[in-house]
Amino acid sequence: MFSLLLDGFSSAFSLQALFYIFFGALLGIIGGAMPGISSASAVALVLPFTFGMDPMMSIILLTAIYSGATYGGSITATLLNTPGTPEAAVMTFDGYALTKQGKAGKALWASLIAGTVGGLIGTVILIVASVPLAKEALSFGPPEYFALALLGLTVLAMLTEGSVVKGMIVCIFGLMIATIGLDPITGVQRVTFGFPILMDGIKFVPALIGLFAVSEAFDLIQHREKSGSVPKAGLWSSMLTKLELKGLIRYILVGTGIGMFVGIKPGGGATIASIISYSVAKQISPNRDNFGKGQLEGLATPEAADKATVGAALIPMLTLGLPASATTAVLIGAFTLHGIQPGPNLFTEHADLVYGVFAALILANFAVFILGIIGIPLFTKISVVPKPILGVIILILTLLGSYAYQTNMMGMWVAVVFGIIGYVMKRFKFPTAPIVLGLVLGPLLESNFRQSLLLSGGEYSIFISRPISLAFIILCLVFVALPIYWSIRDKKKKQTNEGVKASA
Amino acid sequence: MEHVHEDLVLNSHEEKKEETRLDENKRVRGFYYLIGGFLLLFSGIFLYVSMNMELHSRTHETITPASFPTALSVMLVVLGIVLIIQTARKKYDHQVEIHPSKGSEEENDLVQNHGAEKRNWRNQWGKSPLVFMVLTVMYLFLIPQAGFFVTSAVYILFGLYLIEILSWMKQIMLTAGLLLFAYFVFVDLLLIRLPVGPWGF
Repeated sequence: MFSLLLDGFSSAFSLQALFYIFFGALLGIIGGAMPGISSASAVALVLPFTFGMDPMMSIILLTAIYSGATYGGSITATLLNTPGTPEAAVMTFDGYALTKQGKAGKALWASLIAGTVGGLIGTVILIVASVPLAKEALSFGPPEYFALALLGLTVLAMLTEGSVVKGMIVCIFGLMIATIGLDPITGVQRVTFGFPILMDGIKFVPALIGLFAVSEAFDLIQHREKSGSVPKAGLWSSMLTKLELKGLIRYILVGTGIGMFVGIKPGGGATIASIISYSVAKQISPNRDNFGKGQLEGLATPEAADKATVGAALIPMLTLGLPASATTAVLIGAFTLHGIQPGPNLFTEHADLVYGVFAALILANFAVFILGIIGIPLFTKISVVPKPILGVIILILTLLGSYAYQTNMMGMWVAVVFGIIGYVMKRFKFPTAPIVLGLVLGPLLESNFRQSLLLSGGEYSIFISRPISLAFIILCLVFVALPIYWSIRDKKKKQTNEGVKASA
Repeated sequence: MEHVHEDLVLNSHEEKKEETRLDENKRVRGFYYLIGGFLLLFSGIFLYVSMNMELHSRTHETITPASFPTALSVMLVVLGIVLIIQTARKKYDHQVEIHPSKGSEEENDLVQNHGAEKRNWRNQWGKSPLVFMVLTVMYLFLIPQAGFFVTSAVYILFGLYLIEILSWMKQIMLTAGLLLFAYFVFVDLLLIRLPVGPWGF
């Protein structure tokens, strides 16, 4: 494993790779700092441009963007009180409070250090955990994969923020879209509505570009608020003191732990991780009353959690081919663009690629750190580009990108239609992650289900006679049953409470 | 005396607020019905198509290529109905704001140099995502006819004109910059052939 990792480093240390790592980190930070571009849309925006690139370099570039974008959001959250990414929303509380006190430099240092440490620990855990996990997953057959995909979708639909019904609607919509085209087992044409162009199915990458980038562009166009002036942050003069650093270590570790734990499960995502870690930090801090008034740990904890989710989300993606977040789903698109299917076989067939990603991710953390120190004034300046102008620029670039992906108008049409769908979904608070997972997991779910039945000669018992698949299916049932149990319990409580009130 | 007056003003203000909130609520609910209706229509068509699929393969299997789409459409029909029922039973939906960025004083400052009449329609249209969606769809229809570069130039320029933040000089410069970028990256570097018009570009 270590020799492979060294190989990975040697390929990541090539001049070309280093360039892509720094360039990707830079693009990521800029995208993350711009309100309206999340890490998923930053990666989706650049994806079509990696078309003709070497697979290794393109994956390295996109991973670096992912890493940079998860950091970028906190810069604008701290300096301008506008979170650049959804996960940076909680960082405005203490970050902006610090800026108002003239301590912007300290705030930026705290989030930079916390993010780098969180990101590095996350990557190390990714490396340590994914190799044995992938080995285990090699023994998985179709029934296990079916059960796993089902588990992923169930967890996602049940734990998604907001209403369960909306989560399920979106998820099933994604699964349905995924069935359009040729049947994966028999090759029969399905639900193409007689359009020959639909025979290839709805391509995943233009759909993602539409859902994340085009929809965002439509949203950006309507904003007319003036951007505030950028406060000065003298970074060099305001390094944290040793005492401050020492005080932060505990919170950074707590944040990292939460980020890993939340980030690894489907639909967890960085936003939930940073919100949870903020409230945990508030509970364990002796200064909890000063949270929101400029506490460094109120900024450092969510930042560490945020960056730790990157490594965590890559674990199921690389070892099982299951995306845990929207951004990893886009990364799967990047792999498939080059004809590579993420999953346990990746570790045997494309080991160089896997270790290249590991090495790139470690280096990207350092790249973000260095760029963060040098470039913060620049990033804040770019982030105040008027939103509607940004919207028009994003629109034209994304449409071009989706054309390039398929080299026909179909790509553009898919991107625009999904852009409109994505816009409506965002406006009415339908979660976007389930539709993406539906699109990715749909074919996996169906073909493994049917292959299992072919294996067993039509016996459904194959799913429960194998221990691993049985375990996954039991977990599915638990995830479905728990919310139902909770809601019944709450209702009963309410009723007894009302009963008590009535009798009193 | 003064206090009473203040209270009255406050009350009428509150009432007005309540009224607009109810109005908003009605609109939001309407949109939810629309979404529910769309889901029913979509899943209905999907169900019809997948049930009438020509399978001409091993039909003795219990799970055919049609099974998955059929099952999914049935689920979406059910969920669509649930969404509609939920909407009908819910009183308020505070989650949704239809106008997230209604023109504030500051915003209008941005566009004050223009004539009042012009400001009205552009101020409204330039902020509407719907207008841009329609524009974009028209743009896609026109690309194969008039070529990518000509159509895009018109599309970007008109979009920037509607948004009216940049001066016309900057509008032209940004358009030219984007098109040059498109040419160099896609045509020159990635060797992708973009659609051309009858005039060859």
